[in-house]
Amino acid sequence: MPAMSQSQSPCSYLIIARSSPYGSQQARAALDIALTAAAFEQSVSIVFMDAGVLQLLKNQQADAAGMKNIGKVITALELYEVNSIMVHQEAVDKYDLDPSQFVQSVDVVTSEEIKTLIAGADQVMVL
Amino acid sequence: MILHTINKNNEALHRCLSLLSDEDAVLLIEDGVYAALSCRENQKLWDTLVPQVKKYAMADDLAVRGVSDRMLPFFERVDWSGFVSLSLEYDKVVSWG
Amino acid sequence: MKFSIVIHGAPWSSSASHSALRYAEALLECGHEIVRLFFYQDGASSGSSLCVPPQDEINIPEQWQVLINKHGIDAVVCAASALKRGILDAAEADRYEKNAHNLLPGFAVSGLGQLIDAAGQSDRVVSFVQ
Repeated sequence: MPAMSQSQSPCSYLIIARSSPYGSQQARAALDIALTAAAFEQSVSIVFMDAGVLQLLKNQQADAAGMKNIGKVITALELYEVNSIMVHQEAVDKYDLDPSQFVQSVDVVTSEEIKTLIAGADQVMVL
Repeated sequence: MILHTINKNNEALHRCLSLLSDEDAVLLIEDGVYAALSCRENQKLWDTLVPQVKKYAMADDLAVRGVSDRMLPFFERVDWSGFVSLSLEYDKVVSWG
Repeated sequence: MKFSIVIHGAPWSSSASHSALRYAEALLECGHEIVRLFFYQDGASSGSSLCVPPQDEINIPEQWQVLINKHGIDAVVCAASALKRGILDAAEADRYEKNAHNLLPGFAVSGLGQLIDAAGQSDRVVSFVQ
């Protein structure tokens, strides 16, 4: 891993993952930023909302898409010490999902909580 | 205080607006500027926000699309250097699309 | 002030690269510093030397190249994004035994860590999404 510049100061990141897992590269792109920022010892939170919540479903058979399994990539977030993994309540309700059945344990958060997170992070990236 | 840029007139716009704080600002760019067109649907959309949220639209993107003179009255037109100034006026820039 | 810009969209299939170019020009005109341009995902296509748009259309990669070289801007195409989209510099072409390379002079291939590094050095990070 390349060394960080001298003048580098740590940032807090909020990654907002809004994209479904296989329709585009967006889901993977968001996770890669989260994992890289965490690997560089930045403080990272990720919140899955809208179609992004579908990244958390079990039994993804990504081989058929010729892509890496997004569900498996998500399980790496904890290993990389991503501080906080959350889902938007509204998305859970919309798709009628049970968060206890996701590939990863998550905290369910409201819009108001997400607003606070957006206000508090140094960098907010929506993908 | 956040500057939110939105580059589409779709559900990303609605999602962004649902997460705005009162002191934030919205800058519509690219196809996002269609949300600044003066029509009943857009008027209704912006009416749902508290009035103090500042609303901007990129002048070039309005002009390209031939809608410069059809903008809702509470929007302010900005050029690229205006975008730069807004980026500094607010604490950070969050881009939705 | 110090800015970094993240470009997520490819020229012509998205407005992101064109908008980012206009924004970068305005930043420099206003006297600000660009710490780094980071071309991520489809944005990596902005570094291709092989784009041949019709004469009455803007050549976005070429305009980036002019701006980057004129102002000595640090411009990075994300390695993982670039390689899979066929954007290679000479070293990568050699490493993967490809018979051509096409990264415009002035651009560099590097990892996503360069984005995190740039953010740490910048007052603002501005993304242009697909």
